[in-house]
Amino acid sequence: MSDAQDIPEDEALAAEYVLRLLDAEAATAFERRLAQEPALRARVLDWEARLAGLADDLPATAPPARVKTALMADIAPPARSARGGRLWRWLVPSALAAIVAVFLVVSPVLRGPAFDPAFHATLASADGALLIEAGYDPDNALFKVLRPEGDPRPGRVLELWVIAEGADAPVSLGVLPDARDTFLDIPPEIGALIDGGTLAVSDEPEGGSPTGAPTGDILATDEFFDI
Amino acid sequence: MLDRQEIEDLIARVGLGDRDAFSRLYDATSAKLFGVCLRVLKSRAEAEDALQEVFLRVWNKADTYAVTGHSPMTWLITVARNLSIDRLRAAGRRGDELDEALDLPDGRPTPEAASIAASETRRITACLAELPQERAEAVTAAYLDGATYQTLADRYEVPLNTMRTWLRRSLLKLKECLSR
Repeated sequence: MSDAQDIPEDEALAAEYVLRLLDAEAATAFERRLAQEPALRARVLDWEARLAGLADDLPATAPPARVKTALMADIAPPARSARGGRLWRWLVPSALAAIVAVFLVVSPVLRGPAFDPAFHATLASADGALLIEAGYDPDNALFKVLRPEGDPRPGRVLELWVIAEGADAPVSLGVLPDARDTFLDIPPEIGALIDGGTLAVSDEPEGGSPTGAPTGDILATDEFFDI
Repeated sequence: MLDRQEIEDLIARVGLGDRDAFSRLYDATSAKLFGVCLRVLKSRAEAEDALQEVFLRVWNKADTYAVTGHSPMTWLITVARNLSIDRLRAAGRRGDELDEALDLPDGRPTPEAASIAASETRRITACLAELPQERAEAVTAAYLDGATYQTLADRYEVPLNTMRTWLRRSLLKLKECLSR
């Protein structure tokens, strides 16, 4: 590039990425680097912060009330109570069967004779390189993990965490083995955090986090939903 | 008006699924963010859809807010601006309507609207003013109108590569100025 001598390439690329000036191919290549390079992510965040000031002078305009009405409906809890789920299973077996059928179609690989997950979460990294499906069956104390896409970086491992509802600190569920399809051994006291909790995956040194808390990047999170 | 700490606390509670906090966060910040969506999309109907998407993203991603290290309004404005630009691009528009007059009947500043610390905003305005006017306009057009290099090259009647070098230099000057 003709201006390579006097313009630091990564700084310029980060700014162009934030401004959405890169073409699709360059943006994809840049996002691939972002997933690996914390220093580049820091440049992107710096540019986001610098440029956000450009939007801060814009006149505030009250949106119509219907936007909030629609939003509050979007985030409303499902009509059935998650806590009453167990009782509800007995009361409405046909509805349950329908939901289970949908789940089995959506996630056929989670199916197993002795595995009846009550909670499910999907972890997908921002760049799409990592995809993890997790299901937890509290009755049989089974936590199944499928990893159709993505591997840890060389010399690193992927570690799963659960953040209980209302808690700040994640609790480790364990390091993922090389196998793409695995069961993790979850003690019941940790399993109890899953209902209403959030699943996360982080990048850690071999053997898992040495501190008991994530030390590397959090690659993806998702709330467990009650099947 | 809520201060930075109060908005940050609301985002933290939204990250834990607190709907009441979400409602209060919306009340405190939606006018500001709707202003951003309107400015980028230049259509009330599209801006309403974008705003709804912005707050759904906030609801789903509030737990990732802390890792950005951004101030709360910087994060919210960035989400609103990026989703609006994505919509603009998805609609096949490339910021071609740079000079289109904005039809914003309610575009009065609302005093209770949350904002980034005023000093930060003044700094970028002051630093943009140090650039030649056309270059400052090009940076703003890329950020707020979703202008591409091609759009800008056409507008300023320069070759695309010249436009790129021009804008890159302007951005680095801006960075230098802001870090002074």
